Amino acid sequence: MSAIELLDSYEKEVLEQNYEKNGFNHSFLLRKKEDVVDLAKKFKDEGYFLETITAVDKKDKIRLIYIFNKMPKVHRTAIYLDVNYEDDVPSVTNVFKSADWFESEVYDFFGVKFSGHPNLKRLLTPEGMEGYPLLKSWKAEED
Amino acid sequence: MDTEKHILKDFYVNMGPQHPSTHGVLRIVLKVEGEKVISSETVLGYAHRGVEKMAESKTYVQMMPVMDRFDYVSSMLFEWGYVGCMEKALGITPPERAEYIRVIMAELNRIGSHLLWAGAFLLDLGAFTPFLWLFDARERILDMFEEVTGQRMTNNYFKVGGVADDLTPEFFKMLDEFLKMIRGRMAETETLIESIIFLERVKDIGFISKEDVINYSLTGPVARGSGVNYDIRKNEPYSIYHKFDFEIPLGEKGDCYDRYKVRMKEVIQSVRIIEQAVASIPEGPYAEKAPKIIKLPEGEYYFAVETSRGLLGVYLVSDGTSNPYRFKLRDPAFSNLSILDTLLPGNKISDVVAILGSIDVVIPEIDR
Repeated sequence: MSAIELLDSYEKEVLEQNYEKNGFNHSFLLRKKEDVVDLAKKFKDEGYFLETITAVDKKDKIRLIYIFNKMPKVHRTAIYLDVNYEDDVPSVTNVFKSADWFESEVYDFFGVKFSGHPNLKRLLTPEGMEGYPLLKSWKAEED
Repeated sequence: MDTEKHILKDFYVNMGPQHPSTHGVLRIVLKVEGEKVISSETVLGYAHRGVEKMAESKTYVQMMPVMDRFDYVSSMLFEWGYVGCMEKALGITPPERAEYIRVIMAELNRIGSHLLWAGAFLLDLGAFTPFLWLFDARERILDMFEEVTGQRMTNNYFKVGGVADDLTPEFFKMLDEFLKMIRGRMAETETLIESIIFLERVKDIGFISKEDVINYSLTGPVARGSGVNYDIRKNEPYSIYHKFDFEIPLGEKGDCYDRYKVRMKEVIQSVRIIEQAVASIPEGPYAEKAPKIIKLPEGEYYFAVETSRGLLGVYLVSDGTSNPYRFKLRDPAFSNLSILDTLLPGNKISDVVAILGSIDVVIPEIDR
């Protein structure tokens, strides 16, 4: 089943599909955050692995990106999800174990919380860190 | 005497952040019962430098030397990921000679990385001699890098549109000597290494199943040690890798020994690639003309390369200015290390060193 068929039953926006240009065979903007776990399960059943989860601060919202890829031949699919600052998003750790650290990293840098995550913690930033450094509003303290 | 009573319950051992076998600053909190590990927690972040934030206030060109400072033992492979991503966005194709130079340098880098890994891995397990043999071979690679790039480790050699300088005749002479030596050296070292003591330490511990490779997003020699045939150079060919005849070594069981074996075989495959590249390298320019100030067109770009540790993905978001809007590395060792806490329970403390070593982590790459 192709990525387009996998996304058949979900509310989505189909974004530009151009591997030569941006490195993603397919990209979609998912409308409902509740769908993400179900969708991850479908991807896993089709033999995809989760390449990474990351985010971009769009200044009025956070855009999460789940990148799925398939072995052996490249089939990289980007699933975008727009969420509010400090929003709760269902965790996909029950589907992919690698999501544990990926989601922790996004929480650490962007403050997005993942509900159902067994051990959501600040992963890379030092102890006593305040704020979420990869938000555009975050500024480093002057010495 | 009832020995059960004398075993301390809830006893924790801190391995690291300063520990010789973690090769950097990694902390593993081990809960032990005697010598046996009950559970473990990996604590990251001791080498965190906030590079992804820093990138947003630096120009694309200023970030180039930073790429060397993630995985400092295979720095040019990381440069390639970044340069490749920008070239994709700008639509620049490097001249053919530059592609050959890149392949030669990247594969030398891969060999150097595996040699360093094998040497340090064996040192952790108590074998000193192979370390010296392998480091002597690696030293010659560093000498070649110094000849061409002026640097031994943080080379800053790849540029958008090609490479910074042409290969010199002296380099080819050194390379020729190296290629003549390396196969013999590897065979020799392997007979040195594979004693009964070594085999007892690495065989049948740290099993990783094929399912876990998918589940934990493992790539590189760690995935291939479990028999998963996945290598970006073959499965998503970039540059001119499709022109070369080489194999992807695979393990069967997925234990520490298989991962060791895969890396040793990969060295020989990289040698084969270099031999073919040297035989067919064309004359011509070593770099395309590229803009001095790089501005990527607005949009998102993702580019993947195979580093010595696995799949490196460079993700750039551009808003059309000369600074990246978002700079993200999907680095292989980060995912590869995430399986450690699952592998350790049930093993002895001394096996922790073998299992962690077989994963092959470089901490600055994980902590960014």
